[in-house]
Order: sequence, then C-alpha cells, then structure tokens
Amino acid sequence: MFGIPANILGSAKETPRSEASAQDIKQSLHAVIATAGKIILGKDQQLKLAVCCLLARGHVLIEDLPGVGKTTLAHVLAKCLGLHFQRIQFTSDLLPADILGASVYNRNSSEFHFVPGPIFAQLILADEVNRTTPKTQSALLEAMEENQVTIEGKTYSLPVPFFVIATQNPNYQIGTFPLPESQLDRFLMRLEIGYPDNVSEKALLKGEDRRDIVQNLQPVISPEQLMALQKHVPSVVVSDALIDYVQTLLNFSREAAFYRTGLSPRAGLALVRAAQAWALLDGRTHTLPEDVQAVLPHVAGHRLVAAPEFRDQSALELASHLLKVAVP
Amino acid sequence: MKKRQSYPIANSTLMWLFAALLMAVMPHAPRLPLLVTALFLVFLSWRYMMVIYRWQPLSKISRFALTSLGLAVVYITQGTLIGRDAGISLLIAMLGVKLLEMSNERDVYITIMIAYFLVITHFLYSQSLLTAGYMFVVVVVITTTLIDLNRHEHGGAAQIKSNLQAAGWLMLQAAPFMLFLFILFPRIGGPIWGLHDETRGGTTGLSEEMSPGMISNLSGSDEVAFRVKFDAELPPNPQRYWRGPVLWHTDGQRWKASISGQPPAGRSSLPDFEPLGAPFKYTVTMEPSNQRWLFALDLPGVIPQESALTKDFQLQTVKPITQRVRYDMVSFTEYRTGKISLLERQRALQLPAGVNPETQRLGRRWRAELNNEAAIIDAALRMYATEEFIYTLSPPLLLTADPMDKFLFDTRRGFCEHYSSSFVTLMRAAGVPARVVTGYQGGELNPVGDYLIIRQKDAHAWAEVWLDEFGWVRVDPTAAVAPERVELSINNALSRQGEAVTFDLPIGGKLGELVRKFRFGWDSMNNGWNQWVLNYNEAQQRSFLSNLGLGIESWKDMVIALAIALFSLLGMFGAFILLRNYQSPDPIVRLWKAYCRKLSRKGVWRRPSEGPRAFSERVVTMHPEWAGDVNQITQLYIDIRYANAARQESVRALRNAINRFKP
Repeated sequence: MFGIPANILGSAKETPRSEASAQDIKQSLHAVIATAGKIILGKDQQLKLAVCCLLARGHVLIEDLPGVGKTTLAHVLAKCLGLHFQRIQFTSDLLPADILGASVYNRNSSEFHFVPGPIFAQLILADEVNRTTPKTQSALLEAMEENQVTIEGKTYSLPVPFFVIATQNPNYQIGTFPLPESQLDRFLMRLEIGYPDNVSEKALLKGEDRRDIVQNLQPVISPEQLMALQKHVPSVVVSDALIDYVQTLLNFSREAAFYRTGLSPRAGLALVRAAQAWALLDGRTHTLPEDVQAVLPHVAGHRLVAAPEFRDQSALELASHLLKVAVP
Repeated sequence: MKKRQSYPIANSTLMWLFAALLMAVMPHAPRLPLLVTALFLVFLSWRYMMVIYRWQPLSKISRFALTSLGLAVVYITQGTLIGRDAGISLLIAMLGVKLLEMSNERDVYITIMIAYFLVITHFLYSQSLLTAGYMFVVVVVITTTLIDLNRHEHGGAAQIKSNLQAAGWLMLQAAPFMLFLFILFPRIGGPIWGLHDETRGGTTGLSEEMSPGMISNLSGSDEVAFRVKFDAELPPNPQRYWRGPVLWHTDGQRWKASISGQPPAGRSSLPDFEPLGAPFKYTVTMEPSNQRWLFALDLPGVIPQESALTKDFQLQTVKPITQRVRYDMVSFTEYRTGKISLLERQRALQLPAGVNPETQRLGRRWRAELNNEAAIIDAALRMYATEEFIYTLSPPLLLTADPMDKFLFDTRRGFCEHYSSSFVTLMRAAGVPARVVTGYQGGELNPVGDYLIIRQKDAHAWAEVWLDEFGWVRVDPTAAVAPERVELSINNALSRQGEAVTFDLPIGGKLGELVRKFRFGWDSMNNGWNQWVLNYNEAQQRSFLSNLGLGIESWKDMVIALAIALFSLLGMFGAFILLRNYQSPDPIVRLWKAYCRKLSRKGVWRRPSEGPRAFSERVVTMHPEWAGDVNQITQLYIDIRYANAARQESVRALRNAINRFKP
C-alpha cells in the first residue's frame, strides 16, 4: 500500500503485560537513550523527555534557536526506534495538500488515484511549524489530534505509532505565525535544547560528521516493541495521594498571581500521563511526586499564560514556580 | 527600567472606591467650607461619568487648572493652607483632583491610602464611640476596595460577598495586633498635638457665680456632667447632693464665692469634720468642664491628686479640667463640721445694705419674735410650703433693684436658685450664718452598668446654715416647695413659660421600657469607651501595666514588650498555618511527618516540595550511615502511599521501622 512498509499500518499484536518486566522496559528504553546520546552529546535529559513523550503517545514541540540539533534529535530517534521518518519543512506557501496528500488522475487506468502526503509516516519532523499559515498548521494539528486524515470525503488512518516532533524558532522572529494557545495544548511537552556544554561541544567539533553516523545507526527496538511499551503506560499506578498532589498543582496554577489562566483539566490529564511514562522509564510501576516534578516544567510551561506583571518570565521560569508547591 | 504593564482598573473596583471615599469624606462635610465639599462632589461625579459614559480623560492643562482651582478654593475659604481645618480641606480638594487624574493601578493604591488617612483625621474632631464605630465600617469598605483591586475576576453579587468576607477576615486578624499596640504603645503626657483648645468649645456647667436664671438654663441640657460608680450600695436619692461651688457674697442680685473670687475660707490639707455614719466609696468620671471643681457627694472625705480641699469643702483642681478625669472618692453623708471662725461668721452674715428691704425686715421680725435658730429656719420653710410658691423652670424676670423682695412678696415663681438665695438672705437678715451651695442633686441610675449618670439638668442650689450644736447643716428650701425635686428628675421637655415644673415619671408600656433600656445600654457603652479607651493615658497605662506585674515600667520596657508581643503574635500565626498543614487525618501522613520530624531534629529538613525519594536520596548522601533505615522507611512509605500496596501489614511495618529509627 502506497509504498509504505506494511508493518507500520494497523495495530501491532498485543504483547502480554507483565509487572516483572518493568526493569526490562527500563533497560530497553535506556538503551535507546544511550544510543541516541552518542550522537546528541550532553542532552540526555532532553532525549529522555522526548522518549517519555513518545511512550505516553504525545507529541513534542521543540522550541529553540536554529542549529542546536533539533532536526538531528528527531532523526536519531527515528533511527533508534526503527520508525519510518518523514521531514516536512514548513514554509509560508505550504498548503494542507502538500502535507496530507492529494488525488492524482492516472491516465492509464482513467481513475483518480490518492497519493499520500508526507504525513503518512511514523515519525514526522515538522520543521519550523510556525513559519506556515494557520490553515496549514491546523491540517497538521488536526491529524495529530485525530490520528487520521480525511481527504475528499475519504478517511485514511495514520500509521501507528504516530509521533510528531515539531520545531519552532522563538516567536519574536519576523514572519512567523505563532501557534495559538489552544493548539499548543495538542503538544504533550515543549522542550528546549539549549547550547551544549563545553565538553560536549568539543567532542562534537572534533568528531566525524553526525549525518554519517545517523545513516549507519541500527534500530535498538522495533516499532512493535515500542507499541507494547506504550500499552504499559496507563497501567502504571497512580495513587490517590498522587492525584491530590496534581490537584494541588492545578489549584495553585489557577490561584497564584503569576498566571493569568491556570492549567486546564486536559493539562492535568497530560501531566498524569507524562508522569506515568516517566515512572516507566525509571523502571517503576507506580508514579511518584518526583515523576510529576520531572515532567512538570515541560508539560505545563506552554499551557500557562503569564499575568501581565510576570510577562518577562520564560515558559520554564513560569512553570518552575509550580515546583515549589508543597507535596501533600 | 522597564515600565510595568498594568491592568485596566475594573469598574467594580472604582465603584467600591467611590463608596469608600464618600463614606470617608461625608462626616467632614459639616466642618468643611461648603465650597470644598461641593468641589469634591463635583469631581467625584465627574469621574463617575467618565466610568459610566466613557468620558475622555482630562488633558494635562485642564488637570493643572483644576488643581489650581482646588488650591484657590481652599485658600479663599480657609484663609490659609496649614492647620487642621485647612489641611483637611486641602486633602479633600486634592483627593477630588486625584480622582480625575487616576488612570493606573498605582494611582488607585495612592487614593486608597489617602482614604485610610482621611479616616484618621476624623479622630482629630471626635473620639466618640459612634465615630469609632462608623470609621470601622469605613475601613472595612476601603479594605474591600483594596481586595477588589487585587482580584482578577470581577462582578457578581457573590464577588461582593466574598470581598467583604475577605476584608472582615483581615480585620479580625489585625485585631490582636491592634490590642497589643493599644495597650503597650507608649503614651505621651498631655493632650494629643495640643488640640484640645480647638476641640473643646463652650462647655456648659456650673461656675463661680450664680444669678437668677443660671441654673434653670442648665436644666434644659441633657449633657452628662459626670458619672459615678459606687463600690457598694448607693445612698438614697434625698442624700445625693453633689457639692460644687460654695457662694458667700451677694450684692442682692448675684451670688459669688467672694468679692475677689477666691474662696474666703482658705484651704485645708485634711477634711475638717467629724464623720458620723458609714462612708460611701465610689469613683467619679467627670466630663471636661473648663472649671476647677471636682464634684463629690456631700461631704468629701479624701482629697484626690492634684487638687485641694477648701475649708468650705469644695474640691478644686490646680488647673481647669479640660479633659475627662477620673478620681476615687470617699464621702460621708452624715457629719458634724468643726468650728466657725470669726471671719467666716462675718462673711456668712454679709448682706448689702438697703437692698431687698422687705426681705430683710421679715428676717429681722422673725429674729425678734422667735429668737431661736431652729424656729427661724422652720418658719422660713413653712412659708415656702404653705404660701403659694410655685417651682418653675421659667420664672418671670426679676428686673428690679430688689429681686428678692419681688420674688418673695410678688411673683412667687422661681427655680432652685431663687429659693436658695432668698432663703439665705432671710437667714442672714435673721442673724443666722448661712451660705449658698451649688452643685448637682440626684442622678439617674443606669441599671446596665450599675452607675449613676449626673446630667447638667440635675444642677441644683441649696443652702447651708450654721447651728452651734451641729455646725454647718444643709437646708434645701426647694424641697419645701417641691418635695419631688429630690426624688425625681426634672422633665424638661414639656415646660412652658411660667408653668410649674413637671417631673419624669417612668414611662409606661413596653415601648417605654425598650427606649429606656436602649438609652441606658448606649450610655453604658459610651461610659466604658470613655473609661477604658479614651481615658487610657500615661497614668492609666502605667497603673494598668504595673497591675499586670510584668515589670513593664519605663517606655523602653513598653517598646521591648511591644516588639516581643508583636513578634510572638506573628509567630503564632505562622505556627497556626504550619499546624494546619501538619495535622493530617491520614495516619500514613502522620507517620511520615513524625519521621521527617526525627530527621529535622538532626538538622535534615525536608523541603515542602520535596518528594519522598528525592528526600531520602538527599538524606543518604548527607548521612550514609542511616542508609538502611532511610531506604526501608522510604520504600514502605512509597509502597503504601503511591503504589497502593496492601495497607494493614505495611502500615505496621512502617510504624515499627519509624519507631526503631534513631538517627
């Protein structure tokens, strides 16, 4: 079908869940992170968060300056996980059909014939998503939300797993269409990569071309294995005590003077899901407040709107106030 | 510096602000020039229009013009810009201009602070309970404005209620601080900012002169002269003579203490009389009178501080009484006074020659016929009682050179001053030494506070005569005309020209009962306010603090005690907040907190936001020797609380582990 590897469409076989496998899960995922970490130096935390996001079936928005390795990160993840990778470079003249695909007239068969767009892949790198018009942005974001696309009245399922890594240059650059708050909410996490530290940068500058290494990377786990892992996430225990903590955080965000609008219930759900994935990454079958705290700045940052007095603070700074909330 | 962005001010905040300002300014209105009040109201309405009809804000030039107008109005109406009255006028006029200028949050804060300050300025005029109560309400409204300003959502009746609740709660929290500041803040001697000359206008009351009509004028006044609280039981009403100025000298019309105005008898350091009955002990709280007399039940047995007793038993202070004073007294209603000196006898028989010839003749005739002092007194009292004398608040004027003659033989309508002065004139003509004593008689018992209220309308004049075997003896000729006078209070509401006095009889019915209860309750509250709040001056503070026995004596001690009290209050509030978090209904949480407490005693504090694993990792890095226990406890705690492990055994295991843990 459509020239896409057959194994990526439709659902994979159920793998039996086993509590004892928590450590195995940890090991396999950490192998992924370790492999990726050999190429993306000194950014283990970001890699771990990205994998966590993937595990929780969320999408990632990476917001940083050009050249810090956003694209490489996406590329490396795709390779390590054996996912079918597509890159879409967003420009201001990109149209929805350029992403989703279109019907083309086939003269031989005298029929219209659907040619799927680049979105039919397991891992999409949506580069500079804020460079394109809102119309095109929403085509991508709807696909992310629904996991399917409808073209000319026909609905096509997107491949599974389906993971979008969108990148964005910071908003103050000229000629961009910033994503509205409601659409930012579609991303489970928002990451910043930042400059590498001295040691990593030295290794980077001395080492061989990253692109060559990426080409030669072998998958660490298969997409089927990844999907089996994803199924484990909802079964990670979330106790009442943890829910209390999450509610305390939500209430704080709604009452504190820092924020104009607090976190929505959907943000709360995202927080719990991300924390569960994080616990799984750590080889545990229960969620701790520490898991919530680890993902909190990245899950909450882009969903909070600063009060006028605190408009100078970055998203991470804003979210970090939540880290000071007492654990009940 | 970056200009901080600010919210547009919500309409609800502005409405609260307008209400608060109106409430804070309006009580000043009767004291302000009309023009200043009008100016303020115009500015306020203008700003209101700007809110409602979205009128444009004013330009800089028109604001400047309005400011100048405000200044000019204050200067023209007050003649100055400084001093209390002009200062407050200026403050209110400028507040009006500020309202028009107000555009951002900071301006609103300033306006709110000015409103708080305005509240204080009212106390420069009145410190009554009513003022304080009203100002409390105003402060609640201003605080509500402050709360509304800091809210991000506005509108709705629920909002009003929650704003008011928050303000009330804040005030409640401030109450203990207020109490400590009130008790411990060092008081400075003397009236505050020397304002009393301005605040005490004309006060009514007795003076050192008596002329016909003077006391009857007082009888129209319900103003309180003083209040008396007895330690034990009260003397019966006919014995409640509150002694004031004693008058010796007469020119036939008016009575004075003496020609020079000084009491003729000199001062004595000790009460010079022989008490016969049991003493009455009581405390008097006297309203300012601008005079020097302290009133005491006839006769005073002790001399309060900073005062002296004259030989004719008047208590006089060194300085005029311009502030409310409070003194303890002991009095004897039964007594025998000492000897009469030659000078006193001479003064007590003084009569102007040729004035009131008829009266003098009558006195001389009694002397010739009866030749017995007791019989003479009896004859005079019998005359008042049997002939057609009428006791009235508004006697006809006695515009003649011989007013006593006219009163005794012609009009026969008079008030207590007429009866006492004609009686003393008669006695002196008959050769019986006599003098006029003024003061108050009676008083109303307030059953709520169980104290007597003596009002200006209770002012009275009576006589004293010298009898050799008893000394000075009180004779009240008014009682012979109107015996009710010493039993009941005068009803001044219904008196008309020349009519006989009516007396207050208890009003019947439920309503009368209610009115009386309210009146007494209100007076009792006022009295408490005066005694415990306004009268809490340097001396009271010192005696109160020394009674506490905490060794607070100098103002330095007070400042230290104040600091300690305030800081411990803050500490208590802090502890309360901590405790609220501390007491958890969940036994697991309590166990965990007990464990954290054990560690905190060793200097390892869990940050409130720290999760259990992060904490135990930190503990183990700091104290590797505890690793076994800490890891076990943390693991159990996590299992129970976050991994939903079976509780029963785990809880027991956790409890045992924590009990065993001895860091």
